[in-house]
Amino acid sequence: ASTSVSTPVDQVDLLISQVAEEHGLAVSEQLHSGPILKPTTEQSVAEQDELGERLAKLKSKT
Amino acid sequence: MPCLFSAFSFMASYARAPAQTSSVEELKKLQRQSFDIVSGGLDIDEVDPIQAMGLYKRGITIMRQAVRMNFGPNETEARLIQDKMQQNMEQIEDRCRTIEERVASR
Repeated sequence: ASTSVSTPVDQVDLLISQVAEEHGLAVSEQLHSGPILKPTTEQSVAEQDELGERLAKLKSKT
Repeated sequence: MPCLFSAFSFMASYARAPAQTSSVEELKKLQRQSFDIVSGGLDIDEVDPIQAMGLYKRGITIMRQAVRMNFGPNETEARLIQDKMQQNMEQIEDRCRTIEERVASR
């Protein structure tokens, strides 16, 4: 009698792609955070603008 | 007039001294550091102004270091960042004075 041992190829592939995707996402998350990235001039200027706005708001409030 | 002459020659030598140029990356690093600290101060300013003032003063120390950095005439980006830091530094100093006055009048 033949036993059905058909490997669920589709499911395995799906699992691999899921793992790869998870791994890929984890890697890209690491790439986009962390101290390795240097701030651009635009970021530096934007941060100072943000401070200026918050300080002005605080001054007008109190 | 030896005194006047020596003062003049001192000024002349100062003007001739080559200004040490700094890297824009270093400036951005100080900008980020001070931004994080001052933002923390702003977050708590209304609940704990004294602690906020401690953070502001730490931020000012770093900002002062940043605005004193020397850059070549072509480093317009660095100058833009420095100008903004200078303006904000004055506002933060103003905020510290306000907090100090308020604490003193309690």
